[in-house]
Amino acid sequence: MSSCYFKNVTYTYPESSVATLDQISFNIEKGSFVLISGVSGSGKSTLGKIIKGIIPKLYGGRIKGKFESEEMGYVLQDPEKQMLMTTVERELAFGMENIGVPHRIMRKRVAEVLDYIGLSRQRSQETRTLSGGQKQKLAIGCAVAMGFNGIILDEPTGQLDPVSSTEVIDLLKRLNEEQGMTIILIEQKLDALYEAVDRVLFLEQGKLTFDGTPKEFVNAHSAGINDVLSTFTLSFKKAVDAQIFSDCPLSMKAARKMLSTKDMASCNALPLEPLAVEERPLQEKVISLRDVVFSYDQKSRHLSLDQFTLYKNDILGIIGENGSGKSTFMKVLSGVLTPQKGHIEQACQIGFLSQNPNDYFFEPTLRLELEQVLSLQSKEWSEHLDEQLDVLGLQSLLNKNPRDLSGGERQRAAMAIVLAGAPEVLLLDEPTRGLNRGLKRKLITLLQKLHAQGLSIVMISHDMELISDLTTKVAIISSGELQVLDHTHMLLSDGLFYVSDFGKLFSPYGMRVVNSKESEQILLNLKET
Amino acid sequence: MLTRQLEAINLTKVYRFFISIIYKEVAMHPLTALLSIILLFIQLLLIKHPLAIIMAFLLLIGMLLHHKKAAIIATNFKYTKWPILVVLLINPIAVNYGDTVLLSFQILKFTLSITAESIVYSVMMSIKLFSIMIGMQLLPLISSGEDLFTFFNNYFRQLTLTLSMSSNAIGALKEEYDRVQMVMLTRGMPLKEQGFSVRIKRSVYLVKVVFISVLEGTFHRSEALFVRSYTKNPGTDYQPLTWRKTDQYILGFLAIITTLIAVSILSHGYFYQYYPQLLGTIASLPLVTLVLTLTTIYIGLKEQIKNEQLLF
Repeated sequence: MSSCYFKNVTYTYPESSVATLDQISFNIEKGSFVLISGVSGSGKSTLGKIIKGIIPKLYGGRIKGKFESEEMGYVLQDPEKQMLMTTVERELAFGMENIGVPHRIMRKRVAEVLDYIGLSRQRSQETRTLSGGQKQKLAIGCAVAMGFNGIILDEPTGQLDPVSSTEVIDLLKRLNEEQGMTIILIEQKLDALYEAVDRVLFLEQGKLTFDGTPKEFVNAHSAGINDVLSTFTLSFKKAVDAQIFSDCPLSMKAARKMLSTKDMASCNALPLEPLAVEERPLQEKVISLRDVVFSYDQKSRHLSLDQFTLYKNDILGIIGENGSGKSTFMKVLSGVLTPQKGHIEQACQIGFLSQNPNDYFFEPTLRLELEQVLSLQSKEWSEHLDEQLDVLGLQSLLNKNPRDLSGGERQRAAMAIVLAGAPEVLLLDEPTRGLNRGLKRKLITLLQKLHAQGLSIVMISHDMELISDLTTKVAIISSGELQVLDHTHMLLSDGLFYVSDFGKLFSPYGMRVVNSKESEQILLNLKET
Repeated sequence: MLTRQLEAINLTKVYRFFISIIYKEVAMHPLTALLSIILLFIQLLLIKHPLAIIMAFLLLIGMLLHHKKAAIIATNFKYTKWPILVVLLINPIAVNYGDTVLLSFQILKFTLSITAESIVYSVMMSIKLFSIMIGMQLLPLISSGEDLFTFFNNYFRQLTLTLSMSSNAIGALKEEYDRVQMVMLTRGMPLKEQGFSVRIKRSVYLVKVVFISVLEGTFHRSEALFVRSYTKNPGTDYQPLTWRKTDQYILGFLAIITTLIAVSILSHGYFYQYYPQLLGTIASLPLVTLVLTLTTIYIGLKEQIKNEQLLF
């Protein structure tokens, strides 16, 4: 039985001459769990919207080919923008009311779904007070309550912390395995999904270039696929190429099993101590906070810090669950929020890269944007700025409207605007949101270059790969308090959630490994037991 | 004595219906609740008699106290104290009518007189303003939130949805506002500088980006509506409305009150004039208004004392 059938489907957005999807053909069986992946701008979300019928009904455009799909639920990426009702119970009932489900059935379904998604305690709670993970679970619950046999999810974990992401994926697995629901998941974070999904569809520039099992996917030799694979998988892929392993592992459990067949003690590159921590005299303070207390409502403390110091040339990563106070901390650091109590010493130019590049675009061209920043700061267009534009690959885009640029280009344009102000400290809020690994690598390289030029960096991120590859120190914020601040290797090489995949894998062997460079060094030197 | 008298009234149907209004457990049908509030507002807006205004005000206070919502009174006072102060000050200064001159002084060629009539008038207008503010929050107290949602969703579907979506969007908007402020700081826009031109420039940038973001958000919400099969026509109700017997009694009671008020107005029963002299009698007030107010205040205060809550 087919849940969704596409035959040579080509779609072009209105006022565009280039097709976003080109000759797409596939068939999804009922009850299967399918992952749709691809680099940014490859057409993944467009495909999801066509399956649901949002395209062409809401967007218009030209569509050719034959396609059929059963009625499915749809979950958007941003949990904030899909909540329509004020309370959890009403949110669940809203869709059912619209399709005319009788009152008694509705009451029963709401009770059942709330129990199933684990939100029965929040039944009367206002939706705006839910955490990001709870909102996504509620959005999934809404699709289940409406009685659909399948759900399409567009990057549902894109804005969630690791704990909430795991909860959402577990819920999807249960719905697929226990209820037999068809799950079509559009995602860029793939590692946690290989074991759950039956099949992977991979899109490149609007074309379906891969359709196969997760095992075939991770072992495929394609530059496009390599662009979305995690550094964890890529490290093992290199070991497979070096004939150390026969296959790439699809889960942490499988990776551990593979390592157990090797003689870990014989590895002559065992980094028992941190490899990458560069010992520098960290003397020059850039920002210093002491006994800081901030509250939005004067009733509860949203941020409470005894002591925090950012030194020159630090790269600090900030992690913690959604709503833990990370953003408040960043706002206090930048001076946007003034704490009610405490002392702040901050006498440096701060640059802030928002998670939404659109926040930077006020003017009709990128050149005007840059000139406006320079004029506000009484600075001239310099050769240094030209160099930075070269590095960012933006020279040819200076006369374009920044809002017309692609996702990756817009992020680089926002970075150029920030850098035009010649900041000494750069604050970044989820800088890799929506970026595939290829674009992420480019961003990491750029940030490393800027760091080498003396820039201090503070970044909030749920992306453990980014944090472990780039930062030298990590701070965990929980309940508005700085719980711990330590070297990245000390914090991310071991733990439950706030740990890199490499840390999870190598910590049983007493190794402090957090990034791909160190991991490859070990994997490529492994010998048989 | 008063308790005994009230118990005597309790025997009457009118009193029982009245009790059901202020007791939450007998929540009204939204239509009944709406009509009750409208009647209260009509009384506040149309009737000039100071005692009627004071009694309507006390009626509101009593109901809020009964529902343990003394905080509403305090919160509203926090936001309305300045407009009230303006009314209290401007009217006696600007309006020099009235025969009872309390104070008179010369400014340049003008003679300024403060009259007792204008002071009474401005006090009454302030009470009206404050009563309207707190009266607006009475609706969810006398009817259940669920019933109100269903009612408005059935008859004002698009408006209800818009309000519901807006209430969800406010939190996100605040986040967006803070984020754009941080961006502006990065661009070298001074956030704390208070110069007029800087403030204008800052506001233009802020509004521009937040507005575009709101538009983008609207598009996402329309997608969210589409995936929940939203149409203009109402479907079924999660919480169907029930028309209780109490609603019939309350509506009957409201009809009697409305008729009494209408008759009183037509026969100049509520007659009162402020200028040039305060003129009117207590006898012109219908007795039912007085009984209603005193009962509410009594029950409200009793409930308040029982729960050991402070008024403010």
